[in-house]
Amino acid sequence: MRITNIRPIFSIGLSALILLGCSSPPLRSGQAVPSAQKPIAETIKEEQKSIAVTNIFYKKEGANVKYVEEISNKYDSNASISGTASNAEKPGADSKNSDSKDIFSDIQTSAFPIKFTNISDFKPSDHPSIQKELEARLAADGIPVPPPSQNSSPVGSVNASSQLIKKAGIEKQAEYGQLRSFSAAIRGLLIKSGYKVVMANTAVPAANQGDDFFQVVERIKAGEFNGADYVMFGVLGEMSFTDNVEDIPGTKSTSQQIGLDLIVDFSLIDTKTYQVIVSFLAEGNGKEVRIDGRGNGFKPSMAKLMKQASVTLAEDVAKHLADQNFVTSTIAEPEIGRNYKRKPYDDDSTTLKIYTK
Amino acid sequence: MNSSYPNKLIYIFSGLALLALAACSGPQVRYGDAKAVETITVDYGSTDLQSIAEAMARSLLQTKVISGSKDAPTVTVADVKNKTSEYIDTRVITDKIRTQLLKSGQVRFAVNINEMQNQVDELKRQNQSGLYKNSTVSKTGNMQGAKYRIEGSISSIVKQTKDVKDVYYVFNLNLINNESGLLEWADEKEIRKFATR
Repeated sequence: MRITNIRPIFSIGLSALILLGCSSPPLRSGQAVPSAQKPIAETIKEEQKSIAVTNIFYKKEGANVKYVEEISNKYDSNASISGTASNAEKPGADSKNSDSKDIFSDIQTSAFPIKFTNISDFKPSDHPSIQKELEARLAADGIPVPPPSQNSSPVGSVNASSQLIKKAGIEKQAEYGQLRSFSAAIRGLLIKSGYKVVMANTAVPAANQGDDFFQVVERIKAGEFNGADYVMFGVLGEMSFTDNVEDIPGTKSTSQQIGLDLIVDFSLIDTKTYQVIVSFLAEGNGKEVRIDGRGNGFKPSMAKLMKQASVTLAEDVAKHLADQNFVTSTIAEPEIGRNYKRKPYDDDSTTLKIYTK
Repeated sequence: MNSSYPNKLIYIFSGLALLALAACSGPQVRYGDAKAVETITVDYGSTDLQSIAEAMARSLLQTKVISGSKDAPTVTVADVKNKTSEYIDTRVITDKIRTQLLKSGQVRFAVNINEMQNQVDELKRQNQSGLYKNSTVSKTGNMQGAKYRIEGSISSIVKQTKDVKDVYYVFNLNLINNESGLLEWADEKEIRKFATR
């Protein structure tokens, strides 16, 4: 009896041990839990890490067609004095649509009100600045300075020769700065979601800095983000204003649509490792629609357009942050505007009738 | 014979009085069943309208685009072309289908092109008159665009002899995805009617 009872117990115990051996090892505390789907910002929230959102950086490029007329004067004392007699500028021209040869020929056909100087008529005394500099140079060389003469002929002791130089070309200009009105909504969105947001210092473009203005890593190293763990850095791609009038089908009315559209290139950078955590292109749109607006002297409100563009930009940013698993999708997807299915109306059951043959 | 003469007069006067009474009375008015089958003529009638609308609404609600959608898709009604020789108000058919679909709660309808003038006038009144409190104004630029549109046609074939008139109607309805241009659903309802002398 005893032997027969022990055998089944022994075999059950052995099989249980085998099963335990085959099963996967249990997770221990301290071991990393696979969290591929866990939003990064949830960790940031838990660890109370901070995010700084910069204003939106921009670079505005332009080109001017420039014309310079220069007179170079030479004297027997080997002193050479140059002075700009006149210059002409044609602003607003786009370098892509302009050609330097065409510009020059345009200038030659007296499109610009330029006074050309006859070299033989040149008198240093007619130009006080040149006369002053000439006197100073002659004095420095120990040559006696002749008194200023009312005579139109050059002074006997000074032989002067003039050379007229005309220059034309395209002068490129670049303006760097920050747009301050479009980041507040993004900061607000992160604050509302429970993230710690710190203020970034305002970046001021330095002279001859060029595209180094966009060097966010240098700014991080310089401590311009007040110890933030992450920096959300945005650079304006394009900004445009539109004003269109269209007929509204099925009506006798028209709609005037005034729009402000902007595209911003965003990067979220880890300030410790300089790793780009999230990167995307976000879009903001402000739109004002006026029915039958054209011809009524309607003027759109820029403030309204900017606010709308700012809010839509923040919404798009939230959507992209959720897409790249940085924030939870609940921030990105507001419940407004969803068409939930409703229960059927309580109605007479005879409303829907089936007709049979 | 003399006694029968006054009797005849009485009969004549009575008959005339009855005729006068009948002439003075108006037509008899009664309520009927709106859903009752109507077979007065072979022309398009109320029973046809009801059967078409019911069949189409039921079929449309069973389609995967609507029954399988998590949200209620937005739909607008485009034209239903009348290709018959009769005068048929096709708007009544589409309105009836729309009512039945709306009652189901499975679909939401955006205003169609025929209703746009009223919609635009109302938006203009609220937004541009300056009379309304800003927070209560239905703002311009927030209308919802329909994801799908319903459009179709009704056609007929009529054959007639001296004693028999045969009419065949076919009503086609399509559900089209506005963005992709894809035909998501289509169905038809056939009706045959004939009259004999």
